[in-house]
Amino acid sequence: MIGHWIQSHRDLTCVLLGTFFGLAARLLMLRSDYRQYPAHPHGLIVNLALGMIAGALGSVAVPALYHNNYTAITFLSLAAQQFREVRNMERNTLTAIDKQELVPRGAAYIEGMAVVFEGRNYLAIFTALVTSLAAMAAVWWIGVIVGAFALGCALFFMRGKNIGRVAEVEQAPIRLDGPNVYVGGIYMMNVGLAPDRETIAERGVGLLITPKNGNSRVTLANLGQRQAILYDLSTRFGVYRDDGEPTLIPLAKLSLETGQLAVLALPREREPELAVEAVRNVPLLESAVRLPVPANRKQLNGGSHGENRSRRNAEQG
Amino acid sequence: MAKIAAVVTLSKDDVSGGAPIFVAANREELEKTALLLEKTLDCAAHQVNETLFVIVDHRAQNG
Repeated sequence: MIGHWIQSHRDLTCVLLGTFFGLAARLLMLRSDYRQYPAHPHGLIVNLALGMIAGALGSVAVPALYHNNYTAITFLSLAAQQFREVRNMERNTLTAIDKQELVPRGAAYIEGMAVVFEGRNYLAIFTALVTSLAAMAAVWWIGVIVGAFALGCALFFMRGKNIGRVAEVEQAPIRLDGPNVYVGGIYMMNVGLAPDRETIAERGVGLLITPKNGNSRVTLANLGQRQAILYDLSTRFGVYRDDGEPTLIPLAKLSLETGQLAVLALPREREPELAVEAVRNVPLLESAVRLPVPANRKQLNGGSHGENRSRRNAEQG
Repeated sequence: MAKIAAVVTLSKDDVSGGAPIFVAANREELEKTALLLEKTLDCAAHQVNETLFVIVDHRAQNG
């Protein structure tokens, strides 16, 4: 009975299957975790609705193309337009909220999140398109298998790298030398008042992040990446501060000689081992990742660079 | 750039300039004034030496 229905409604089956897998992909990628976004029920609905639209658009394109309706491909550009809007929407929301945070996310983190929201919708489209194509070209159960496989691919692409991949994180002692505060030998700040110094000595957690190579050194030096580390720490362990207390703000300072990053945080729950783990899990921001090492090595080893230089010198001379 | 919002000192002769200067009689009063100014101005108190505190507004922009 069902088999007969599927046979007679082939296009509809493709669209339904594609939409279902597209929506499933968006649902799987929509996790509410410690970053607390989108934990809000309405934010969730907005993203699910857009995920369904993405799935529907992706899956409708295939039967349309099969019926020589080539203009259907413009549907996909419409979708791209739509999802750029998603990116803007997320960016605006997060920027507006950021002003009210005790420890802000920072522009780089927000931009990263906005891009991820857009990217995940494209992954939903891709899943729907592949599912629909398989169901149309073969039979519906092949579509189901391909859809499941595409879901796996989407999950794989969703996973980002984190700080633990590029740097070693360890606890470091906080040292007070008069008004000066050091974390693991790196100067942090000058704290004038004794009560503030006591608070820092009592509640502070010092962490030292050591980059594994030259690339990660550049990444850790990025201000956006540092703010992301401080934001994640603050979200997971709370902050021991109030508005208008700049001395108790969490800080990250760079050692210029070694490239190490020292972090001084005042968490509400003081659990240094967990804090180390939390910093390891901070996502690497796409905008902070640089790869200067391979680029420089290529230029040094390749003979062409030297030739270029001598030619340039000759031209200048 | 941060901006000095106020100066608290024990020896008036050591300081001069554009920021308001508060002269304290002893170390206890010095710290008390610095604390009060830190809380009321939402700024950070930094100790330059034993007799001199500067209250710095780190949110201030250039100009």
